[in-house]
Amino acid sequence: MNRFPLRRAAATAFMAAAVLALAAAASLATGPYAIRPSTLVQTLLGSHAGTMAAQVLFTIRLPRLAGACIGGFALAIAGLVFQALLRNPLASEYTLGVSSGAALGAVGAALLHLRSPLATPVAAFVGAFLTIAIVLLLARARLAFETNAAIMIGVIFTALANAALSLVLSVLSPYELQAFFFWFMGSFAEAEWPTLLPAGVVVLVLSAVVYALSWKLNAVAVDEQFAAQVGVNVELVKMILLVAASVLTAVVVSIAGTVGFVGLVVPHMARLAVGVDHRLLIPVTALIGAALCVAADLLARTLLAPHELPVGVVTAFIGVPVFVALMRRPER
Amino acid sequence: MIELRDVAVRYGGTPVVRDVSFRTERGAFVGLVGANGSGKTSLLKVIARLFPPAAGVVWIAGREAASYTRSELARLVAGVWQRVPLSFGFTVRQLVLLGRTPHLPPLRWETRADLEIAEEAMEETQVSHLAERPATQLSAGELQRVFIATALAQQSPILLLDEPTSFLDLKQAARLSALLDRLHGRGVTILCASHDLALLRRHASSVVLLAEGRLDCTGRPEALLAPAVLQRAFGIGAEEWYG
Repeated sequence: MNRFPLRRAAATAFMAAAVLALAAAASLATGPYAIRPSTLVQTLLGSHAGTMAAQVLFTIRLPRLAGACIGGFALAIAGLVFQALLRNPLASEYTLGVSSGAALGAVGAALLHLRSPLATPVAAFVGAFLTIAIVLLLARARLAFETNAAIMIGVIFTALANAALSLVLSVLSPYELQAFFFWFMGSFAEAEWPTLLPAGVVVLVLSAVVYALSWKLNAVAVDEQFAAQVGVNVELVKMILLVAASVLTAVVVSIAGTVGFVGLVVPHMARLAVGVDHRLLIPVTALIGAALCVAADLLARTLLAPHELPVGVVTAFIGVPVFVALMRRPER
Repeated sequence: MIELRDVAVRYGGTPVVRDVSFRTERGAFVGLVGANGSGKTSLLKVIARLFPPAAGVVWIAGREAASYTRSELARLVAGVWQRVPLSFGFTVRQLVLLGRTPHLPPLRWETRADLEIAEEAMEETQVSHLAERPATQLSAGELQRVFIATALAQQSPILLLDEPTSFLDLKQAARLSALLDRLHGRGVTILCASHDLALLRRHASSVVLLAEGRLDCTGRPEALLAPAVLQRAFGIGAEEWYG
């Protein structure tokens, strides 16, 4: 019989889904306008149309919840892909500079006053893809320790991109500053249905593409030469997955700015639970990522209410200790 | 089964193999011998299409190697290479099952038959007891046997071996030798790069001697021990060789 840990993966996915459901329910009910559970359920089922509760739910909290779900789902998968392709547990869209590159692209589009609804996500993707291309090309030029070099160059590129963003922010008026600030630390507060719906479709389609390649990704995560030996077209698989992970990152950046540590930490949590088979890891990672982002957004809204924290601050405060703890444990 | 015509390999412009031509018949066991840096591994990797030749052509089973898809080639050629660095904790069973990759239809998980083939491969290389261990925790010799098991699970009619005994103790080397006998008996074509002249003398029907990236000579393994050949290929006199 198949010895892959299917049961453990199913149990972990169930737990992650349960945490996601609880955090989602709390997220919808909690806020300056509290909604009782019974009212919440009835409003979601279509009663109370036109009431304050319906207004708050459908125009503010549900889009925000959907944004956090999409964001966590996409960032976790992107991080997993980067780690597997580079065979480096420190790789993620954040440490490789892809998030910062995407934010730089999005800010560039805003500064140029590009009005098209596609301008921000496309500019974010261009920034993300150019960043990963430059980082990998520079890393390849070093030949030895290519994957470690990619992380080092990514960290340096992140510092450069953040300096460029700081430069932009420092010359803006206070009014403009408010609008640009969230590119730095991330927030799902600006999430709106017109951008969320296409973002959700793109994330689902790309997640399906990544999953379809998870068989090949297993071999690539061992070693590229090994993967070629067992019949994987390594260059093609790498290119498709790098584009997919870059687009996933860009989609999240275009709706929420840079949200760090999700793509770095969540794949490790999932690996600890289900092992290293990407056919199981991808769905579990995505669910944990969504649960983490929804919970982090809830904390960001409520911890210092009525003040709101950037969600990136919360994911950093959760992510760093979790990462340190995971690194001290042997991996399955 | 395998034919090389005027194959050259370069690393960043530096030639490491030049104008090598030879052919092996189906079911043959051919040794690839030469000093360090003579181009043995490079030649094996060109045959496995892990990188393209700078010049020349490789033919496998009647077709140019370049004309096969990756999966087609993997169903024809398996390889065991030195030094595969591992970053994630794949278990031994998972690594061996990856040898079934070229046989799996798209999006299909391994069948019971695939699992049985992997079990047999692990038994043949005596790694069954390590099946659930992360490969990152194994010794170099154990890992070598795991990758041999992966190659066996590929069930390819051609097996390329790059220094297969380099990390094995005497007992495991003897077991590998017995395994090579069985594979040879099943008609597997084996091309083995090795410094282990005793192994090649035991198994190889012929050897290809490389010197400074060029084909020096081909012949029976015993011919390697001729004083002139030892001197030319390895730079040692017959009295210096301990074998």
